Amino acid sequence: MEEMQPRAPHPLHPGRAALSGVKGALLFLALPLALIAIFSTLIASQNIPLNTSFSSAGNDIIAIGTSIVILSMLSSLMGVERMSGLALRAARQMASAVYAVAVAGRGYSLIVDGNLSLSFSLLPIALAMAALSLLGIIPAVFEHAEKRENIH
Amino acid sequence: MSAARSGRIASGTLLGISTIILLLFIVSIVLPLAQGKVTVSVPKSGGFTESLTPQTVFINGSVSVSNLGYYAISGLTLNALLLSSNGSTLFNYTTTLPAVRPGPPVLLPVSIPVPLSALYGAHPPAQPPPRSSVALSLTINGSYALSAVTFTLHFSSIVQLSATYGGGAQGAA
Repeated sequence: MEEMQPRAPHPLHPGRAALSGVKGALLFLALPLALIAIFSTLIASQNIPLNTSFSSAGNDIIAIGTSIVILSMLSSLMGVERMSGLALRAARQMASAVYAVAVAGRGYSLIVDGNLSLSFSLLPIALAMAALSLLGIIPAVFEHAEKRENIH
Repeated sequence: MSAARSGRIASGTLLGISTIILLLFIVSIVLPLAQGKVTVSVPKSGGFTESLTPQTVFINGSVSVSNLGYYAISGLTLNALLLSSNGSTLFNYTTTLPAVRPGPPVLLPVSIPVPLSALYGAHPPAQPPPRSSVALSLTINGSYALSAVTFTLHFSSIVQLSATYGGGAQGAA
């Protein structure tokens, strides 16, 4: 009688996780913070008082962007073939959707001078970005199913 | 090819194409805006003139719109508030302005008809004060690129009204 062997756990993917962390940090932290800094410097160079909406956007970028980087690394480490990895990927996509609305969809305002102010919002674009982020879960679900098929 | 693999490739491709289209759309919006090619501006102080009829004083000016981008500026509405020195609203006026398609800069004339009764009450004095000043608060709302960007421009100024009653009387800013 053949003895039942416990199935070996799927290997973790530390290399992929590190790469994913670097990509996430560049895309969700460094690039947006650099854009905010460049934009703020351009405005300040024209002696336009800066509204706090820019600095508070920076806080959102750091808070939500860091959570995306962590979720991204963890989901890559687990691999999408694990259910927990897929759940983490879904959480990352949802955090990306929140990020898009919080950063791109917020209203920004400039006080051009004492008598003139300008407010603007890119909310429709932010909602489209958020929708695309959420739809990103679908390929991950198919990838999960494909990898499970290959394992069995 | 398995159904899961086909599904992953199809959904990934669709998602990739949609993302590229959205990114191109964003770049085509942001680039002209960052280069200052799309601007809406209102008259600075002293940029208004007045004309008077027996019952109404018209505050005239123009909104300057430069649209060298790729999309139309639409949904332009102008709201004008006349405020007294103590901050109370004397007159509230809203009008829509035509959409501005990409092209050379245009001036959109604006004429705000203020009934004299709004300035001096139901029974205006026989002669108004030689010069009276009111605060003019202008708000312009609009959108750009299929409403992807919405904006609000707020401007306030003191307008000196100098007029005399009677047909043909004149005013000066």
